[in-house]
Amino acid sequence: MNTLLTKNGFFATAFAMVVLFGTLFFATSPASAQFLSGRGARIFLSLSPEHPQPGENVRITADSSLIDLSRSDIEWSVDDEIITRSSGQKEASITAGPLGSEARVSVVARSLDGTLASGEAFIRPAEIDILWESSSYVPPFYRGRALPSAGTFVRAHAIVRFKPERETQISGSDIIFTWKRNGSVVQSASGRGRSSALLSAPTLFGVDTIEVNAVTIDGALEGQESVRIPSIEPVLTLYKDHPLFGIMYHQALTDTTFVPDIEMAFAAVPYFAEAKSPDDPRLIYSWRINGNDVAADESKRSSLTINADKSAGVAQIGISLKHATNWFMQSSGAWEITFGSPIK
Amino acid sequence: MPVNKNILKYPLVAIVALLLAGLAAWYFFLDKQAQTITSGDSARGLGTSAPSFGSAIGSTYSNIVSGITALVGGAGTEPASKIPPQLWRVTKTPVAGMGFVGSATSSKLYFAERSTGYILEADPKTGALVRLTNKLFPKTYEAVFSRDGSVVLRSINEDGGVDSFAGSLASTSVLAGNYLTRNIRAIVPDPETHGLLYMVKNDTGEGVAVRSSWSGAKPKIVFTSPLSSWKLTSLDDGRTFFTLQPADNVPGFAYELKSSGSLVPEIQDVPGLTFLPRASSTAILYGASAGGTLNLFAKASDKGQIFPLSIRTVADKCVWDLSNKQLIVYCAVPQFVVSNTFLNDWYRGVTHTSDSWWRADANDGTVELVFSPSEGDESLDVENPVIDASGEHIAFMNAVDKTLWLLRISK
Repeated sequence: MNTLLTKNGFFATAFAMVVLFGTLFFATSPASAQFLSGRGARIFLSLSPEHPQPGENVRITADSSLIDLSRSDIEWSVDDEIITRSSGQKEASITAGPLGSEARVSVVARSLDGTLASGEAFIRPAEIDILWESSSYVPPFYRGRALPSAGTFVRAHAIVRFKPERETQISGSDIIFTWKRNGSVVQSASGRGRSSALLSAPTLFGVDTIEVNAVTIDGALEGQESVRIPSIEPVLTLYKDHPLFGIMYHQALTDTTFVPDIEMAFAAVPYFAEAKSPDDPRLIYSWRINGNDVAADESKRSSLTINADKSAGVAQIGISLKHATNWFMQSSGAWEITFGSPIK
Repeated sequence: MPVNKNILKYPLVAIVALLLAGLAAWYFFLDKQAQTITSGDSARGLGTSAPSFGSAIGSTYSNIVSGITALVGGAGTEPASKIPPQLWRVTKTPVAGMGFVGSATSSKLYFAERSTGYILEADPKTGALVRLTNKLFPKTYEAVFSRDGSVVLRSINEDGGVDSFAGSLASTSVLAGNYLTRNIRAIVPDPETHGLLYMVKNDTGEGVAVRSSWSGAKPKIVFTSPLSSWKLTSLDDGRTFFTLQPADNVPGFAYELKSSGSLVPEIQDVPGLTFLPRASSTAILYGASAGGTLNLFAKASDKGQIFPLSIRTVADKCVWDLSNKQLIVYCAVPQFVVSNTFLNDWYRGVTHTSDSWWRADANDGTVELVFSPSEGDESLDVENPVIDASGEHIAFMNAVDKTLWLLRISK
């Protein structure tokens, strides 16, 4: 009895799984491609691109293992309107509609022996933007983007526009995101509503491909986007720290600079470095003037004041920047500063 | 006994003499010190006449740095109250920002000095300069003006963070106001509400856009994003745009923030995107920087086609002329660009350009040269251009030295 019950239970479970699988397989309609049973045999339709964007040209390819499509009369329709009819035409192209639209592409084929086959696919355009920024250091009022360098983090954010026909746009919290880095899924960043991901920056001079796949909970809409993010070396830039105007971020010092005063403070700014500020305790500055090591003020190690009184007036400044915990981070620079003559 | 008297008398006389000598020495010592202090005070300006309240070249120049030729490239004052040249160098010292105040018929240019934070007024028609405030804000890095003359002065504090003082001209020479929340990353006037729109980073690293009154009161979060590198644009017609801060060869995106809080894309996936929407229309201008090449594009309306303009520059160097019913935009165009990563290098102050001014029509894409500096003139690297309500003057900063310039447009 127990055995019979167990067998019954097994068959019931198996049947339920088959039904469930079948339901999922046929009822769910990914935004890209699917085939449905039509008249006669089935035709499989594949879309390229798989997840089209609004206005994008979509190439649809028909395939069947039951009839020879290349020797069949094939009729293509979009929303029941015939767009082409010819013999052996296994491909068709249409332009995806705007966001929120749905186009039903159907194909019917009749083989030489009269066998009918059909297939159907839906084109539901979706858009995904991948935005990103780095946690690397840029000074206040810098108008550009912080770029990633080895040891920093990249915060990526996917803005998804999924809009079912005649409905409002789907909220990000109702979308399942799968983040991939160089093809490998980042499990810790993926999941429902996980529209942003904090990822480590590519290694020195490396380039990472960050990819996100987004799908609605019911699987009706799906999209995919990727972006290549390169890693750069931090850039050490030297500015005058003027007593009246502050750090002159608009005038980076060139290789040779003339300073008309006899004393001037200089500020080194480690653009795109792994740091919270130029005086981040993890940053190790080595200042050299005319070949001699010079110790900077411990509380402000990114800046140095040079007094050229009673000297020839030329100072060759060399700065080397390293990181206490990030061995990949290294930057250096050299500048020749000519000071003005002391006022007599 | 008389011997004893003499013994007492001589030491007493000697002591008195020593005391007198000591006092005399002390007197001369103090006198010398006083002279030193007096000369030091004189050198610092004690006893000199009160500083001028307005001059043709700005108070910093006349009161503080007139002796430092290196900063101004030579002395010389420009007399006030004369019709300025077509290209008028308003200041010889750096400014923090500027804005046109007033109506189309009587527009004045307000600006803030970089070194002092003093607000000055320049009359584009007469060339007269007047200092409006005397409240000191040393090392003001950025100043943002509203059309009614209110200002936000921004500086870097001891911790390396950013302080923002929002003030208004309460009465003569008094700038009344208060400090806003710290570490505001970007701030712009919000013309529709006469308030402010600013971006801060919250504890979790998210970017939070806040709309508030000019004093910072009644803050209301209008937008939250996992990213904080946004450039804000708030137009007269109430529309608000968020553009991801640009970098060469890096995809940029620009969105309009709808009242519902949703972002509607304006421009997507353009490398090195700089974006400039036009108020009271759906026209846009945007620039792309990729592979060492700059390109500028325009779109006359949201239904229109995007087309390239034949001038190569970034949208940061352009300004729409709202006085003109045509879709006219003025752009400063570099004569040449030497850097392969122009935006990154330009923003770091590593590279500078020498620009000419062009007028472009976003309807038909035609362009026309408006002003080109003569040979031997100082090269102008235009940034932060603003235009007055009448469309007659464009004020801009020269990114080379942050000086303020005014261009009269001959229509």
